[in-house]
Amino acid sequence: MDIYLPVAEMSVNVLVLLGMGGVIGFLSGLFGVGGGFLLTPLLIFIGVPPPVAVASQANQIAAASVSGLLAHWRRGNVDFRMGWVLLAGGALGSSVGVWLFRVLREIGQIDAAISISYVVFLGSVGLLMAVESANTILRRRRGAPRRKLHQHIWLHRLPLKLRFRRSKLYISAISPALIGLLVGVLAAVMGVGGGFVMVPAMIYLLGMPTSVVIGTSLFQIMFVTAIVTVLHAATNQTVDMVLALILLAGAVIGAQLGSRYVAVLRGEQLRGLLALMVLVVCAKLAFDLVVMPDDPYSLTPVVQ
Amino acid sequence: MTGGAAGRHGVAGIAALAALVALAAGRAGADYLVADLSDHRIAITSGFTGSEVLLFGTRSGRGDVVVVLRGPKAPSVVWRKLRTLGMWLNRVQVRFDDAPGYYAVAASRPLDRLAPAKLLEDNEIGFANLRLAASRVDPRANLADFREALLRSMERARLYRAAISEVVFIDDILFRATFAFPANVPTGLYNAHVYLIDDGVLVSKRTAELEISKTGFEAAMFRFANHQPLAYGLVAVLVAVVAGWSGGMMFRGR
Repeated sequence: MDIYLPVAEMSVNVLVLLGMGGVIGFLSGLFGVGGGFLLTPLLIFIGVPPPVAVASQANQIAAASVSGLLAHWRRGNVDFRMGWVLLAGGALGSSVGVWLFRVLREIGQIDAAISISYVVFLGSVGLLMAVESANTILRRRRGAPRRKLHQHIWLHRLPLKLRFRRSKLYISAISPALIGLLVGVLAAVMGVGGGFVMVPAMIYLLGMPTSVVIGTSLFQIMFVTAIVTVLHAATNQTVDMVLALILLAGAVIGAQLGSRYVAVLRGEQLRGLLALMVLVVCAKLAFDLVVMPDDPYSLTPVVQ
Repeated sequence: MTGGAAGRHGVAGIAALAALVALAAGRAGADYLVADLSDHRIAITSGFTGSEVLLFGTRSGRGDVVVVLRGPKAPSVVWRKLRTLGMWLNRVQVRFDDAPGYYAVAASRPLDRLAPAKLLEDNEIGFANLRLAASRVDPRANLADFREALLRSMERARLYRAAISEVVFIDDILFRATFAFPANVPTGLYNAHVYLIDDGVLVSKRTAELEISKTGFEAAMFRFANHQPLAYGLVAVLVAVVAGWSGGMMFRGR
C-alpha cells in the first residue's frame, strides 16, 4: 500500500512508515525519550530527502509531545518558569538553526552536518548514559550511599538569578537559557526534540529534581518543535504534513505498547539499554562518514 | 494500478491508431510522419507509484523512427566527496542548469547504424549527445566525470534511460514505443520528439506534449506548502497538536 508524499515528492509504503513510527513510539513509551534521533536517520535511510526528514520529524515530535505534556501538567510536574526560560533560549536557537540549515543546504554540506551532529551528540550522550547506568548498577551491588540532591557549580552563580520554585532552585537564568538555545539549534538541524541532551543537562548541570525534568522538557520540546516546524515550512518548504501524521499514528500506538513494558525493567537497566541503542546508531553514522563511499559523486537539486 | 493504466493506454492507443491509419491512407505518397502520445496529462494522486505512456504513429515509405522524450529542466548540482579530516565530505561541485528531469530514447534500430553522428548530436539523441551546460565549475573538477556522475545518478533514479528502448513496427506503417515513469517523476511539461530518418537523412519531425502534474489533495498540499509557506507551517502545527492530543485521549481511559 503505497502513498505519495506531496512535499517529499516520493511514494512510500504506508505500512513501512507506520511500522517505523510504531517502533519509535514503543521506544519512547519505554524510555521516555522522543526517539527523533532514531527516526530522522531511518527516514533518510528509506530515501526521504534529509531536509524533508528533519522538518517533518519536528512536526511529528510537536504532535507526539502534546499528550505527554498534558499528562505531566495535570500531575503538576511542569516547572513553567523554567520552561519559559528554556523556551526563550529555544526560540532563538531554532531560528539560528533553521538559518544555519539553509546555509548548509546551499553549500552542499547539510547531509554531512546532520551526520556529524548526530555522531557528536549521540556519541557523547550515549557514553555518559552508559557510564552513569553502569555506575548505578555497580553502586547498587555495593550498597553505597546516595549522592546529594544537587551540587552548586559555577554555572549557577552567573547573574540574573531567578527562583524556580517547582525545581527548588535559585540559580542564574542564563544557564537554562543557554541549554534551551543549544537544544533549539539541534531541533532545527537534526529534527530531534533534544530530550536526550536536555534531560541529562537539566539533571546534572542545573540540578533539577527528576520529577519535574520530563514534564518541563516536554514543555520546551513541544514549543520548540512547533517553532521549528513553522520556520522550516516558511524558509525551506520542507514540512510534509502527510508524512508527519502517518508517523504520528504509528507512534501513538507504539507508545501505548511501550509504556506497558516499562514496569518490567529497572531504571538503570532501561538507561543502559537506551545508551546501547544510541551508541549503535552513532557508530553506524560514524562508519558511513569515514568509510569510502561506493560512489563519491552525489546529485542534489539546486536550492531555490 | 499500473496495469489498469496501461490497459487504458492500450485502448486509447488502438482507437487513435485506427484514426491515424485512415488519415495515412488518404495521404499516401510523400514521406511523412504522424505521431501522438496515448496521454497528454498524467495525474499524480495519492496512490501514484509510477506510470507509463505509449507513443504511437504512422510513417509512409521507408525510414527509421527515433523518439526522444524529455522532461522539464531540473537544475542540479553534482558533488564529489573528498576525504577531509578523515571524513568523506562534499568538496567539489559542478552545477548543471539545464539537465532535463527525465530523458529517454527509443529507436527502431541501434543508433549508430541509423544516422550519422552529426545528426544525432544536433538533435541530442542518445546519452552521449545530451547537452549539459555546466556552470559554477570548480577548477579541480574533471567535467567529464561529473557529467558521467549526473547521468549515473539520474539513471539510478530511473529518470534517465541509457539503454535505447525499442520502437516497434506493427506493420510497415504503424509503430509504437512505451516509456515508463517512476514514482519520483518530476512534474511539468514533457516533450516527445519523433524523428523519421531515412538513409541517414532526417526526413520528418513531429512533437507531442505531455504534462505530468499533481492533482487533488496532493496538488493542493504542495501548492499550499509552496505558495503560503508560513500559513502552511502554522496549520501543520495546529493539525499536529490536535492529532497528538486526540491520539493521547484515545488511550487515556485504559
